[in-house]
Amino acid sequence: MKCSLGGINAKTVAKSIQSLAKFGSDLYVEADSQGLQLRSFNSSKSAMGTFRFKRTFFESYHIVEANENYCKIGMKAALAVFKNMQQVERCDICIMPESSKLQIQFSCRLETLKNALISIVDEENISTPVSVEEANNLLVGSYKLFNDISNNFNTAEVEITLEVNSNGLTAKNYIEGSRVNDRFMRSQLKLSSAEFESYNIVQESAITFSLKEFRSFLAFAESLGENISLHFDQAGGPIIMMIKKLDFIECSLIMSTLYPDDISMYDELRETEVNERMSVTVKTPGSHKRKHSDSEMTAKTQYSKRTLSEQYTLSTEAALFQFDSDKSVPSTNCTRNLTPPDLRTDDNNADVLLATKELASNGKNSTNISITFENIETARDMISQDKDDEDEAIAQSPQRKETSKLRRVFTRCFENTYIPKEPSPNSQVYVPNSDTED
Amino acid sequence: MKFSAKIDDGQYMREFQNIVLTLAKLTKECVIIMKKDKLNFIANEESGSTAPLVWIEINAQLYFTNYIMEEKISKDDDDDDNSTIMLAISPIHFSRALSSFKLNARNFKFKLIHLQFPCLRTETEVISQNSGESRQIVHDVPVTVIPRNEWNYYDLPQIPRTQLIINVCSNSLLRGLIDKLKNISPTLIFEANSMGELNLVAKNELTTITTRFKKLEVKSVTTNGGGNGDDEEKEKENIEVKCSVDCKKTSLFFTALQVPTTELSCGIDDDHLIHIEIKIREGVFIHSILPGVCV
Repeated sequence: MKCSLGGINAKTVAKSIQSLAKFGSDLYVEADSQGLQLRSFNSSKSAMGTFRFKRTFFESYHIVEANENYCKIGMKAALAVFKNMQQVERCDICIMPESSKLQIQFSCRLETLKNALISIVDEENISTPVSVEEANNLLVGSYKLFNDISNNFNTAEVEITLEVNSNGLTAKNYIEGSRVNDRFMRSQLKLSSAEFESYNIVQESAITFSLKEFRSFLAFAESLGENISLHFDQAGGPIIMMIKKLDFIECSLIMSTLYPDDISMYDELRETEVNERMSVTVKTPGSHKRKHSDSEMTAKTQYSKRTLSEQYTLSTEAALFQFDSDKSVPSTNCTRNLTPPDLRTDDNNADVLLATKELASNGKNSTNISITFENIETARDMISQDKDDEDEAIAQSPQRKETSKLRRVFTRCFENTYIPKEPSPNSQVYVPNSDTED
Repeated sequence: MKFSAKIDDGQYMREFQNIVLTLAKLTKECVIIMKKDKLNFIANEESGSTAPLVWIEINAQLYFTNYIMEEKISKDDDDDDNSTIMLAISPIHFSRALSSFKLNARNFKFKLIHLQFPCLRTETEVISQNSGESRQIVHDVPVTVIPRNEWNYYDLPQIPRTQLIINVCSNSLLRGLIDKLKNISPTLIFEANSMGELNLVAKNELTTITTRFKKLEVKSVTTNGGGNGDDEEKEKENIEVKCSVDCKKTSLFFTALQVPTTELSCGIDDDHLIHIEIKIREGVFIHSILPGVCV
């Protein structure tokens, strides 16, 4: 694949790479007969950005269909090459499969020639089953409008919630009823439907997605000066943000949104950190049940909802992730970076099992917790054994000493009651708890 | 406890925002005291180690069109005049909530509500430039209610008795000057006399730098002792006062000021303290006390 661009278009490509660099660590370059495509996704695989440059965008575009015209390069390398674009008058990009390098040549002012060779890391490409037409709700607005929305919130905000109904849109930085700490400042912005260029809401919904990726794409839209269109459905389904410039450039950002049952993304990320330190990557549904007051939903339906998201996961042909939908391993929002095969070590299994057993004895939905380890042979035996012994004193088990670590880590699971709608335990108690069950 | 206030005028809104911005630059936590007819802000001296003591007084009726303050005292029937609400708030969060005033804000309301914890809810209605539609921006700033037994700790400082109060020119001159003098010496000496002259002196082992301001307006002169007779003699008396203050504190105060300072007056109590008062408009004052230091 060989192509060349004029100065201004090269600057646009540089801006697109800068935008992808804000959340991605690898850049996937794909070329086909219609044009060049740059793709990247974020570390937790919950957002994927795509920039498509049509053939007419390039001054010259030469492609050989027989060869493999796609490659993956490191984002840092690409960013370093496309850094100072002020002097660039012409840019030539060429994929060299023999030496597995991507060659970028800049012809700059004053007869300077800059040549960069980026090593190709891998030959893979990504495909996604998400398509735009499936989404019911559509919002189109100018970048200035979305800029206003974004500026309303602190730069440190992790996520944003958009509640849409037929009258207007409310942008919030919190979710109703979620657990917040004392120092949390809530903001919300209400916009009427007339502010948007096109406001087509079929289904009322409240979606929550990450603000970082949104902002990086917003910056690109600002540099192009184009409108942004948002396609989405319900909470849990993907949201697609599209920017189009005439016929040349088409950009889309596909992001996963939070399920209505899940707590804030930020908290979830914290929890995974804890889990990874323990080298256990499976989140027991018990711990999640602690955080929701509506515990009527059984684990099974939760699984079915969660596995639904697998339809929308990005599947790589290189098969980086094995999301086997038959396993009932509970992965909340499967697009997160879970590596299932880590459950090999028996020690960890035992620890986690004991933890879940504690949960089972304390928790309300003890039956559901056993489903967690269905796929592990030893686990099943142990659990069925332990269920009989539930009434007996646990202290006799020799491994109990090791749970002290777990106790510190899963302290919230061992607390008697924890309801998210109550203020955090740190705040001052004005009236004592009058719950008779306690 | 109920509290709600509303501002309708754009100019007042910007002034209020500037006041809160000034506070935000001085300290991380300040106390709002809401009384029946006044709203006060106090910047704690301890919270910021070098921040000076600053308090702000706002006449509520003047600024806010709809000022409701109710405190439910269950036992006492009296004390409607003394009813007070005290809240500790972070002025940085509060200023962020008010930051939407830069756009065309139409009106602004803030009130005390209790969600999961007590917050001050600011509702701003702005008109967007692009489409002319009105939008509503709501921010909830978390506050802590200060219980009654700690109220006397946050009593408003009284305006100290000073011998000479002199009107200083604009803040911009002073600010740049004090910033540079900060590097020369850790203490700054304010000298003033009733002829309308103010000197700022910074002394070093090797150098002494004096900046003289002349023809300043003397607001008031109070002398110690002396009878009431012979007023003429008193007027002819040339009072000279001076006070040494910590340069860093002074510099912090002057750099933090975000409000237009056409009326900045300095009251000097000989060797004791300097009291700075900025009058933004009738009923709205920013006060600060810079304690005197031993050289």
